[in-house]
Amino acid sequence: MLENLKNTSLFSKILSLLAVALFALWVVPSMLSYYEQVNDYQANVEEIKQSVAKYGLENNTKQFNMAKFKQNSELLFDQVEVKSVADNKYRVTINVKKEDIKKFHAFLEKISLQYYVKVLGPLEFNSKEKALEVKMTLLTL
Amino acid sequence: MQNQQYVTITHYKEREFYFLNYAIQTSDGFIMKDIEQFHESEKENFIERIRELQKLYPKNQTISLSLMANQVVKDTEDPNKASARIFKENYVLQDKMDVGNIPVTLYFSPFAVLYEEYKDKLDDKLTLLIGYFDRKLFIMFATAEKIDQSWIIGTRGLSEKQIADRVYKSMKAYYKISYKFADQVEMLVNDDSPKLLKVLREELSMNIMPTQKTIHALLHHMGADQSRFGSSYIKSFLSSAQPTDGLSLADKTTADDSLNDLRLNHQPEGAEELSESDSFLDKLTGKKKKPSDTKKTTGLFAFLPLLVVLAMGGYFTTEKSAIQTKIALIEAQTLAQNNNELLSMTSKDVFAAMGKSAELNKAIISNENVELKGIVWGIEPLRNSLNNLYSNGEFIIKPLENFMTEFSFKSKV
Repeated sequence: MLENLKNTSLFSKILSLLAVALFALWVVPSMLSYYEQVNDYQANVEEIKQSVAKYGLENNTKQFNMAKFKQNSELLFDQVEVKSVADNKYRVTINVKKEDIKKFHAFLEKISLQYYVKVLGPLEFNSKEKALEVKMTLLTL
Repeated sequence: MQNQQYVTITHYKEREFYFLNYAIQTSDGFIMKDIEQFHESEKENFIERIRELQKLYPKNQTISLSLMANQVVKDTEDPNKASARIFKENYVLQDKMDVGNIPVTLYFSPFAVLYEEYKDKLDDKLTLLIGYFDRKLFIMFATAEKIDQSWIIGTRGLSEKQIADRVYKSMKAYYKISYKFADQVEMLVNDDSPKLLKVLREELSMNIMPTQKTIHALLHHMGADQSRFGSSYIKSFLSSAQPTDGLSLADKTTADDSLNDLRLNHQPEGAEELSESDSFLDKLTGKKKKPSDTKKTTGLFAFLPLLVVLAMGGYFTTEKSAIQTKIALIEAQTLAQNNNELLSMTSKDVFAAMGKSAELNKAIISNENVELKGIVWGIEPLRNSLNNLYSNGEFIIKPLENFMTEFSFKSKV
């Protein structure tokens, strides 16, 4: 092997050295970093899967769609309003019967497993006779 | 009065020197004269000296040795190439002659010289014949019938050990295609090289008895008898300069064809070196790499590791970038999920704390703090419940006109 190296031209040697240097300084770190991130990703996926299983949902998170979200939420609550505010933010107002507050809490727990959204800021409750009006801001991920 | 002795004039070029010699041929053998040496810058003097000898001895043969690396032994003659017949079924072929304007009447291949030297020793057993001339190993596996395989190995810049190693590898490669090892090895050298012989013996584990003869002596021997050189000189060279009387050839050898050959065939020094380094497999398969092909292949192979590394690096960089996007999304989702679960739990706790002691009118609930306002019926139970959730929170009650009590609660951040 040493003999082969000796017989190699200078150009080939330079290219080989460049290849070795790039492999050591670029490929190996990229490869290690990639596999490390794959592991991180898998850990996060596993965590989401566990949550999905806990709530008996399908592992099928969707991009947020205002109309679809409203339509699905109205199956649970009397009145739902969704307004786009700005920068991927949506103001959601839901009327919940006071005795159905548990239903709202369950809805809240599942919302980020069904749509790529997060609840931004606090929940605002206002009593309206026998119902509670809940306002919250959703931010798409 | 002209000298009617039959004389063989021999010359060859090794490195930058021309070596010239002549010998008087007698019935008992030839009588060699002193070897003359000319630097390549003295080429005209060298040619002039040959012409002088040719004039002095009109019955002459002017003989040279082809030390070109592009010779190959084949089973059939190629009309488009210069060829010399050796054995019944073998021909040495080379693309064209390249003797320039130097007078030559007989031009031999080292393979023909090797055959002539050892033909009486050949039998049914496979013999490896090695000729070492001008830093090239002319090698052939031969029996009495034919040459099974031949090739030329360049040795410029190699140590004796490396040369022996190449010979050994050639034997191994030959074994792979024929499943035969040479039974004996014969070696013809023009310079004494005991070290090479020693390492060859060690490498091949065979006894080698070398024959040491100068190129001049070998050529004088070849030119001594027409029956000896009749078929084995390289023909196409003489096709335009065939002697009329068989022996007196003289100046016709510098015919136009030779000059054309010089112009057409001249290869730069480096090109010949590349030919010498052709792989043995190419020789075996009969493929002859062009120098430009070799360079291109070498260049491509030199780029190959770099290309592989770039491809790998590119792949992992792209994949890393893609997975970073996916990780960012799923991490945000995980974070949002945890946040929502916590918010839901906080809200549940607040509503549980209200219980039957109070009713909320307004609430702002986040994971950091809560602000509540409503009607309370059981002040102490509510206060206790809220204090259990948020210690040191600000709990305020306010009696209303309708005999009800309003409460407000603000947790401390």
